[in-house]
Amino acid sequence: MPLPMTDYSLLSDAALAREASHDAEAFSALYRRYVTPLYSYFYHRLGNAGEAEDLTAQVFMDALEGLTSYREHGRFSSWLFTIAHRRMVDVYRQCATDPLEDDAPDGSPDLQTVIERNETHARLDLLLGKLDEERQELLRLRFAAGLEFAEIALLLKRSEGAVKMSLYRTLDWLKANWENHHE
Amino acid sequence: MSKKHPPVLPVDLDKELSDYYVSPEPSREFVTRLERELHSKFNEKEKSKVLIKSAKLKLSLGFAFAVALIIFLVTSPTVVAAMMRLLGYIPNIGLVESGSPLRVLAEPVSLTRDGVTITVQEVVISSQETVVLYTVNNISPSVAYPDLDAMRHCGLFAGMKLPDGSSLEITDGQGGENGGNGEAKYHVTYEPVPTDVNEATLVLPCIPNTQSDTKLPENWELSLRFIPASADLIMSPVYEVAPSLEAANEKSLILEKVLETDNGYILIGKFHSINLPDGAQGFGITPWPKVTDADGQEVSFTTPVDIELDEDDLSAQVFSWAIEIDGKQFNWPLTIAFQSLNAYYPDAQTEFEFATGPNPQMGQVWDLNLDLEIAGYPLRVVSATRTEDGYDFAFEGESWIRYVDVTIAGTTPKAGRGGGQDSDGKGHFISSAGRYEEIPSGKLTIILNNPAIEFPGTWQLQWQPDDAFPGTNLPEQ
Repeated sequence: MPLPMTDYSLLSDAALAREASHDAEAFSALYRRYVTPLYSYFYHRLGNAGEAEDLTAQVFMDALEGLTSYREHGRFSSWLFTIAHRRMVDVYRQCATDPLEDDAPDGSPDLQTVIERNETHARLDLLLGKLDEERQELLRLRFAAGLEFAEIALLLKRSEGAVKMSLYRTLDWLKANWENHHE
Repeated sequence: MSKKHPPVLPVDLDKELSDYYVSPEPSREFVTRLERELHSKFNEKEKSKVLIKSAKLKLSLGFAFAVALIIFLVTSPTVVAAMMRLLGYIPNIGLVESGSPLRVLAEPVSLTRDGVTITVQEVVISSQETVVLYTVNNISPSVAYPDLDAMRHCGLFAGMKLPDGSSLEITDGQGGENGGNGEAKYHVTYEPVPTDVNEATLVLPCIPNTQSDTKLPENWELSLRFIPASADLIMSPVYEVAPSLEAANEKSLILEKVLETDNGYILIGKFHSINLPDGAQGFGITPWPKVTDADGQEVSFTTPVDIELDEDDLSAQVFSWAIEIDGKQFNWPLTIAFQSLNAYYPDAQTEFEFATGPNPQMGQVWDLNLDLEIAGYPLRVVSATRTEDGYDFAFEGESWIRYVDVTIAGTTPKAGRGGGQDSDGKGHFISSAGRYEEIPSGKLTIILNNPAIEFPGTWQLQWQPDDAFPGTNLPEQ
């Protein structure tokens, strides 16, 4: 039964996830909360709006099917992005001979894209392209998907401190190499 | 050939990255269509559930009886003692199910290679989980936190491999910080090791927080052997506290569990928000409680890091808390008092007009001094400041107003929509109207909503050890 007189947008993820297995409105609230971060995450992985939409839809279908198996001691966002990560792995498998990160917008942008972007973004393009996949994924989860450190830590099965450390070190590296890597 | 100068290093790299990763929003059509499809699929699932439900009706009636019985047991003081030892506490490990046999590490296991030592200090296996405490020693800071020439890191927690080659799923993990003394501690929780398996291998492909081209040894494997926990395993029983009739009716601050440690007591409970004004929604208790003895002397306490709290339930307005009392000799009883509750008004809104002029300049300040009211509370808009990519508004209100969200009507910022900054505790705070590619100017309508309030009040309970702690020497009252 739906919660009486409840503004679902105010409820925590955990409260919504508890209700969502039997309350369509609760599931919709979770959907509205995460559709843009998920789409944004896929968009930055794939650089293609159509594919980002397809994968976003698949993840929410998977989540709806799997809600009953969701265990509350993890964070809902981490659980959802774990599904997203699995979907990405499937895509990588299908395209094993053509690694997707080569096509990603933040990896190796084509010349036209570089020209069109402002200089700061173009420089970020070049520098981020030098990072390994793990670091790029961390930045996407933090800045494209907007996840908190604790959520990323659960998703990547690392300590929150280690995630923070990785991010700060990556930022330090970006700063240190800002002037050194111009072409 | 002239050398091109690189763009200037962004002052705020965080902000630049946020801008960089701004994606086009998914189309409204896609979002609406997918929501409709999900709704439809949800309804299909519900229909199939109805069929299953009718077949399970008889079972459900039996279950309802069992639930009623459990509620009676928990709230009946005469039976609480019988349930007391279902949960136990092991320092550094946390609360464990003690109703079923526990297993522990037969002996600490340590492995040193090239000067680096990994030690598995403790393992506790219950029917619910496997908790492993291990340390990595003698990592020099220069190796643990190298320059980022090589960006590969192995930041994963150690894996747990069973003799059949399968691995246990990690369900939680903490630690990994190198405290500067060359030691990093880890507290990792896995699925339970199957009851018929008494060996496992802790596996680390490389040392966490080091780079791959350092010459530290890789592919670590530590063999672990488990034995039944001895009867004298140091473990405090966790006592369920039966609420008094008064507390059950009042329900504002409830003590649920108590356990005794070597140095004091851990108290675990819930705060049920009550009597908030219409339209207010509680979202947390703050500041941390004040604990005093019978003479009003403050009692020191800490937050127990190994107690995993229930998640706050905003819909039911229930918040979890736990404190670890430092010491055992007090003038009893102790009083635990929470003195404020954070809440906000999701539906409250007010607005005002703000004329920037045709060409607002960065750093320009407008003195506004507008007296408004939101959710019944007076609030003064002191000034507006043009920032690099938007406007900040300075507010002044009662000391317990924490912040309001600010938006500019009819505009869509590229980021930071309606964000607010917390108050200085004296009623002064600043809220940003978001970050814009093209900064709105002219006559703007500024909307204020979602005010967050820190409600003062006193919610308290008293507690003292009783017969549940036969070993405690209480001073004479």
